[in-house]
Amino acid sequence: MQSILKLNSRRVLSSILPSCRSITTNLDTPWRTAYGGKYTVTLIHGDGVGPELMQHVKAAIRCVRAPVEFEDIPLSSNEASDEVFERAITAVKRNGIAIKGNIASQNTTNSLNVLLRTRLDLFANVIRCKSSPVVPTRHSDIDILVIRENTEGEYSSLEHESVPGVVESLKVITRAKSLKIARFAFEIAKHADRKKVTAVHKANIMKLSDGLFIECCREIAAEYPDIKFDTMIVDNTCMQLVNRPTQFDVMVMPNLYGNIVSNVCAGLVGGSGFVAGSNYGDHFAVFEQGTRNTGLGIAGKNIANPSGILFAAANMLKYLGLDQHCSTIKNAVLNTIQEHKIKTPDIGGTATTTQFIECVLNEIIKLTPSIGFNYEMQKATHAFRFKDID
Amino acid sequence: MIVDNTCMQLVNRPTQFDVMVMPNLYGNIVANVCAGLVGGSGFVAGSNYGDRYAIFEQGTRNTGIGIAGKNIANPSGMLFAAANMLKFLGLDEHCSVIKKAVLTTIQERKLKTPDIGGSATTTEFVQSVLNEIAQMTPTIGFDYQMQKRKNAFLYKNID
Repeated sequence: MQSILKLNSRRVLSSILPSCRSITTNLDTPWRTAYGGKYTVTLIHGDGVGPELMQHVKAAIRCVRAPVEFEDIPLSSNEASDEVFERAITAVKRNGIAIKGNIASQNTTNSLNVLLRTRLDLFANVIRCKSSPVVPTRHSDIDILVIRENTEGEYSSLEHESVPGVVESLKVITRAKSLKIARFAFEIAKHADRKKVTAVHKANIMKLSDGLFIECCREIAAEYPDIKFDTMIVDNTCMQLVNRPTQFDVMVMPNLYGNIVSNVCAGLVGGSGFVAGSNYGDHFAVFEQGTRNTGLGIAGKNIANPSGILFAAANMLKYLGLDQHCSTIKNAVLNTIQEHKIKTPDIGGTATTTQFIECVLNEIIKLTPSIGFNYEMQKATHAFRFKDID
Repeated sequence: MIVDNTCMQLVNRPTQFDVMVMPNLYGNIVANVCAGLVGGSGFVAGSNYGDRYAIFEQGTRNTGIGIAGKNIANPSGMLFAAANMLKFLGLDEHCSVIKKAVLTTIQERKLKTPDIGGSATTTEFVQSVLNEIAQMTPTIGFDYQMQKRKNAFLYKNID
């Protein structure tokens, strides 16, 4: 109880500071402060395969010679004290960017992942599922952008047992956040030249909550006449995803359906090893594996597929404006799978993670010019930059 | 298994699952994913059981408003549901005849409605099913016994 009171008072104070900063920010100051010419990125280790994958991410980013320094926070379910958690929050707020492994949720406490996202107000989760020729899947030609509301909905962690044996769980949908996520989805669709946005819901049963969500999406859709908008009920959506996934382009939905639909889409394009997820807020961005697995069963065995977290690191570099570094890492991973045919067991091969990473690092060295890439530090903008989102 | 991992495993390796039990919303989603895996909403029959009553329907609970009146709906799902109802009543042979008739129509006569890639209408399909049923049923009809009274729910005749 005491720790909850501590957290609340710190939240009030720390939520005042960023708004002050944005009011007084001079247009000439960089958007992400690069101390000594290097951006600082927080690395939150997480559980399971998280710590080992973080080492590989560091190796890859150093190999591509990106101007990035790391700040390690060993937050995991073993080290989940308030102090470490607050350190993590402060580090992300200070640096603005984080790469995160998943923290296993113990049964008695609230999920630390959810707490992290709500404290940092990372309202949007974006997962891009693109089928690639290197991974054999049943459907090719899939390119779906799944945008999932990240902070409310069924994950409000409000449950109570009013009568013994009867548990009630509250699903909270607010107009403000629904408008925000709908606006986010349409802005991304506009900047990425996407043609259609599908809102996924269950408003026939949950008429008020999902009905509000759909209404907000429709309001925003009216401002973008070039982009088609339609709605689809979540069960039909899942069936269509399994039968004809090429009909979907951008999908926007509340939290729980987003979790399920993004995992279905990830399964369609090759599994959890291949999909990177990004969480965006107004001030911060956190990058992680798309399907948020801890991988406890394969921790320490050196068989995890690092492609997902490497793609997440590449997305982070793109978000910082380092496009060439981003595409080098992505091409290196794809070349490793395609040309060198080194595959980890989850996609049917026999290579270990270390073999995979070594090959990726070799590819990166081949693709990087000897003096490194030319890059420019980002210019300051006040607005959220929808254009560097993948 | 957590529902997001379940959906991903269903898409990647569905053969690992046998019987799945879950609450209402996840059941809706997972049932539709599984129905999509085996051929679409035309092929899956759903049964709703209570302590006293049973209702049989199409597995994926679609209204099909878009294809109403166009004579292109796939009747297999509803026919399987009807067959399940007969089995629930204890009329096993009647049940298996209907199911075999539908499967023979698709497999041997190759009559497929548009949702599974063919061009037959519903009436042609059902005509063929009726012919198959007539071929499989002996001229005096099947032998059957009325169910004996039982207070318990018959778990044994559930498909």
